[in-house]
Amino acid sequence: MSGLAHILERKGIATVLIGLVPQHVERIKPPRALLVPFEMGRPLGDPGNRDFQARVLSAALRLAVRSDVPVIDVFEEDAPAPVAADMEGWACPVSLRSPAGTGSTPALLAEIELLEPWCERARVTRGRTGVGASGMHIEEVGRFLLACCEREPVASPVSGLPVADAFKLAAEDLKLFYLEAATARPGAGSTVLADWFWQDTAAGALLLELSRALADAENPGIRIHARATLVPEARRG
Amino acid sequence: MRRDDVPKRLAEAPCPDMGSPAAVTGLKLSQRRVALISTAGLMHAGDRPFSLGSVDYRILDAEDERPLQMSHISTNFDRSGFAQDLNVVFPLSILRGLELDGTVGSMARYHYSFMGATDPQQLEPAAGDLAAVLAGDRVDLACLIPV
Repeated sequence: MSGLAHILERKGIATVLIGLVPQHVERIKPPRALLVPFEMGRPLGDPGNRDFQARVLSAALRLAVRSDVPVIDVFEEDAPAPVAADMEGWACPVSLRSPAGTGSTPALLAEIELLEPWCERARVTRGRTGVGASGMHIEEVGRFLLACCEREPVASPVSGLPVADAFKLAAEDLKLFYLEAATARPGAGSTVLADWFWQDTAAGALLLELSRALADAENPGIRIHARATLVPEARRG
Repeated sequence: MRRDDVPKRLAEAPCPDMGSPAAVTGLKLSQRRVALISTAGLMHAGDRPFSLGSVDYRILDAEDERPLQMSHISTNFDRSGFAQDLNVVFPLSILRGLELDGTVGSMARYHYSFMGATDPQQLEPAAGDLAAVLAGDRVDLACLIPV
């Protein structure tokens, strides 16, 4: 991102940048950067908090008039903690009966069925959903990934989309579906949600299993995804 | 992130030497036309997803009603914020508010997304092309937002 700012500015477009990794910003030295203390994935800090987000964005934009580059400013305000940031304060909207470690067909499809009304509720409340990048309905996503666990896929379920891309996008759709449904009941922080997904759901168990089962896949794209992009580093065994 | 919270491997990852930055000067902020550039791998539903090695960008049209989806390949960042609120990743409606209250001159109709975690030198051709597109749209301030 900092490199992109260099390129655009050299081409005559003034830039300001929000920076999440101070060590990188300090080394690459983009023209104007605002370092923010938020976790990766949340550059504006606090979901649903427009006033806070406006303060962050305004602070970045205000750097535009500076010509004494490189400018590195710091946004010192932490994002407000979620209302129920601890493990006791939040529960998934539905009780998932499938024990962790079972990415089986009945368990996964039962979870999807239980969560679907909550995902729909979230979609209506927010007026949007981010689920669907794979081009598959969520139940198709589940069945495709379950089949991948049995045998490396050789054909893409989506016309025009390479099978490795379909595999990765399906995995992200599955995760996002769970996250949208779970956050229909507000109050959970990112760590609580990640713990819930990776430890307590059949979907998390399935993705962990896929990362192992396809680590030596013949398709190089699937192999890379299984080894590096399916499960966060911190969750890999 | 707070400096001490950055994982060691990420903090010590190689960074390209981009040299000294250029400095484009311009109008007051309240007279600037602003576009957002994300590296979250965003796209409109139905557009071509990003994939391994993508070095191009997607156009995000503020007047396109198709939902925005994320196809970034990395799994090492939180997506629960994006699940709840697009603005926490791509603050289009926040920027609209800053246009309405006069903080910025205007918000461009077209915004853009790359997929981060890419060597910036490989992005150079597409970024050069984008700079011309931005200039053609009279954008004189790009706000770059990582994920």
